[in-house]
Amino acid sequence: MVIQLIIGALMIGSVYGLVGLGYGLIYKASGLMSLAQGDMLMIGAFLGLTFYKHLQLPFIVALLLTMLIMFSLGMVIQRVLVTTLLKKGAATVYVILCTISISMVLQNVAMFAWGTNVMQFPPIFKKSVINILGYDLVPENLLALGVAITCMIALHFFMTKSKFGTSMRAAAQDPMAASALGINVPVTRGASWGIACMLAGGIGVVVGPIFGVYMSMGSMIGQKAFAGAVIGGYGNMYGAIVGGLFFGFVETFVSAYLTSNYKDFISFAILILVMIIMPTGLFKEQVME
Amino acid sequence: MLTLQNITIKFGGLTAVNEVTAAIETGVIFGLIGPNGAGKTTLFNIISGVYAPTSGTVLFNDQNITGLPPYKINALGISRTYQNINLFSKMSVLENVMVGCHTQSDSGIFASVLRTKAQQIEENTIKRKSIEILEFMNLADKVNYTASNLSYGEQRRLEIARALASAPKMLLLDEPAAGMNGREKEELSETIRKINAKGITILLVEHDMKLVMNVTHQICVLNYGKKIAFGDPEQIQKDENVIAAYLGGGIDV
Amino acid sequence: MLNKIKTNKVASIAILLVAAVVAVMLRERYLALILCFICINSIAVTGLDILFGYTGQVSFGHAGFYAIGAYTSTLLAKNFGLNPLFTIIIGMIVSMIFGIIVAFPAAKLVKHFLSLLTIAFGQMVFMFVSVTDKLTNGYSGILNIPDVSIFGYPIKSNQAYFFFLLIITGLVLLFKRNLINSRVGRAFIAIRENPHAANGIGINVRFYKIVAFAASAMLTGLAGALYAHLVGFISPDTFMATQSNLFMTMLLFGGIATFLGPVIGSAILVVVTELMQSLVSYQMLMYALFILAVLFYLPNGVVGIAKWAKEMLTTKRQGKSRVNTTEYHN
Repeated sequence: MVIQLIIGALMIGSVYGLVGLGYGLIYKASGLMSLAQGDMLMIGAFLGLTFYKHLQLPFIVALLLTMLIMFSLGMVIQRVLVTTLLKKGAATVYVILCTISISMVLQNVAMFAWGTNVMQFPPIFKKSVINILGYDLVPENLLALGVAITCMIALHFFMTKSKFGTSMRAAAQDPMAASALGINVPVTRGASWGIACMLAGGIGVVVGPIFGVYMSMGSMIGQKAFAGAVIGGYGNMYGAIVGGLFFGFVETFVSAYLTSNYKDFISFAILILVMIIMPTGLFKEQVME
Repeated sequence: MLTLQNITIKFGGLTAVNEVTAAIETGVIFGLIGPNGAGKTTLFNIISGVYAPTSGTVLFNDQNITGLPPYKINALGISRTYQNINLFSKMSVLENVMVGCHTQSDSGIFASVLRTKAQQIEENTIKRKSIEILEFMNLADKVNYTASNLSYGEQRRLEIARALASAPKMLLLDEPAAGMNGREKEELSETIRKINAKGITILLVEHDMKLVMNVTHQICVLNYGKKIAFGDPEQIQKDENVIAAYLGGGIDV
Repeated sequence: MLNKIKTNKVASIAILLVAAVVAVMLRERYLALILCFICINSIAVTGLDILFGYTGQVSFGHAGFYAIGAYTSTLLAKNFGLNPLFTIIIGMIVSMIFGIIVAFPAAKLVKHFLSLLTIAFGQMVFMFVSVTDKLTNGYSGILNIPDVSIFGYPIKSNQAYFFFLLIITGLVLLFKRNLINSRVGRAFIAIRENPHAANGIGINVRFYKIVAFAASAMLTGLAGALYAHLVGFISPDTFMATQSNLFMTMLLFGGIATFLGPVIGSAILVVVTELMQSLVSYQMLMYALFILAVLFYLPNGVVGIAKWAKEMLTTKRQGKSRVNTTEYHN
């Protein structure tokens, strides 16, 4: 029982972590906040479903294709909408509002394209339960966990080892200096939005088989991920993962042992408490004036 | 009036102000000068409450004001202007000065919502007083302009007007002449003397040496966060430490 | 300044008169109902305007205050048989208390985190009313909420309720104008424009942020309570995050930090929503387009257009522009 709970918590926690990582990435690169991450996950899930179920593509192809499309979507949103808005001298709050309206548009588009019903994602594995060391586990859960961990590790090496990743970090730290060194700061900013959307969309494909795919599937995941990102210290990539895992464990164990009705209520209460008591998060990022 | 005792402030490993001690007497125009990065603005920020010093005390009329928040320090009678203009740019010129009267009025929320007799009287007093101050600062014809539409020199004057609105005992001016032309600077010297003549003690940070030497009674010179000289303008001009510091800093006296 | 107040007065009196005449001529319950919705939303959005428009503190959780006002008044009136007129006031006060509770941490947070805190607050209220079956009857909601009665005469018809709301809306707008044109209102605007300079000039920034939150929550709570007694039925669906975004859309579209912006924004959004009843599936898209239109083309909303038009006329005469309407109200 406890082992299954832990696996479940790890799975949902790393989903939050990965989506939350996107918030952190965007914040670090541009000092902005997107509230559309949850709906990016939803769009990713629908795209994955379309490729896998209706176009009969292999799962891995469906996943990669979705991530590619989501990357472009994120990049376009940043390059076209956000940049235009900033050029007009809008305050950051207006960028948040812009992302809220993007998420409304995405939800409505999903409704037109795929309808309002919950759609079943066909199982990816033949067996519905596998037995590892005497524990019955759902392979889709393990897949989600595996994909999340792979993405995190890949992102870590991309950001620290690759040339583009390093220039992204440089541009985030000091845009002026980076620009002087010949780094194309607008492109790195666009890429950070692209990567954030790509991660959310990719994780959408793997959680599709677990939760089902529907229009509002992203909103709660998006908010929890956000909460995780704050608890971890907003803008800190690794903090977002730790924060996401924290909320994964909180909600799994609260609903198993205390109350399932109030699990989200408790998660948000913890978030608010953390903002009051420990405003810099676990990894000490600035949130107060 | 204002006493600084062994003020030190450190940011990380950097000591921005180091063991500065000074006393400013009531009624003087006190200059604070030094090369760029000498810690003048930091000292201003400590006096006005923006930063709390790492160690040392600030006494204002024998009251310890070290580490008090800016709004309380303002209420005690220390008002300031900013090096980078910090006006309420979407408000009108008059409203900017009326905001400055905040500590000089006390209408509460309910009085404001219900527009009581006392509140209306107070509003009128504030408005009249603000217009007087604007006249004093030679901005009377710009009363209804939006603050951001004023010229640079006018914005600097409006900052002083807003600071005067809180009826300060002491006024901190942070580079009031920056960006002004020669004629404006002369007017500014005149204005500073006029403000001083009203009995307001003035602490002035300024890069324009001519203006400082012309207008101040006493000068304190900072270099790398340390006080290196103190005296009247004539003494300072002859002081070897000061000349060395300025030559090192690349500014001629 | 004086002129501005005068034209505002004239405009508001004119609007009240027109509205009153329209109401007298109304035979249709439905039209009266729409006018009621406009009033209620105007009150809620005016609340948001005090916080966001004037003080510069964003909230994406005002549906939470709306819910607190609605549920408090409903539960007291239904379970204890208190006069709704009285419970509406209590709903307003309870909402204000929650506003102060939220404001304590919120007054110290930087913009982004303030957005998040208010979202979390709105979600918590929504979840609480959704799952606390014993108190709020959960997702099924509460039916048969008693009507407001004045001196023993119940206000049953929508037309009568509209007059009641009209008076309240008028008072709210009057109080808002008084507040904004006072020492307190100037402190709000100063905080929005430049919190550091405001602090330096003797304004206790944290205190006034809390005051703004309290006033804002109070008005939105009042609107929620009025809504409950108008419709006679409340359920968590009304108080989802979408409602918070809708308030924000109304405010932005009408024009932030203006006297009539919230009223105009509410009126347009309510009417458009009603006209599009048959196209409910496009509703979200429409709200989104409203927000995007404001963000990209009308930073000061409908009122901004009016000001701009007026400015164009006066500049032709004076040859000098003083108000730049394309500028953002940051």
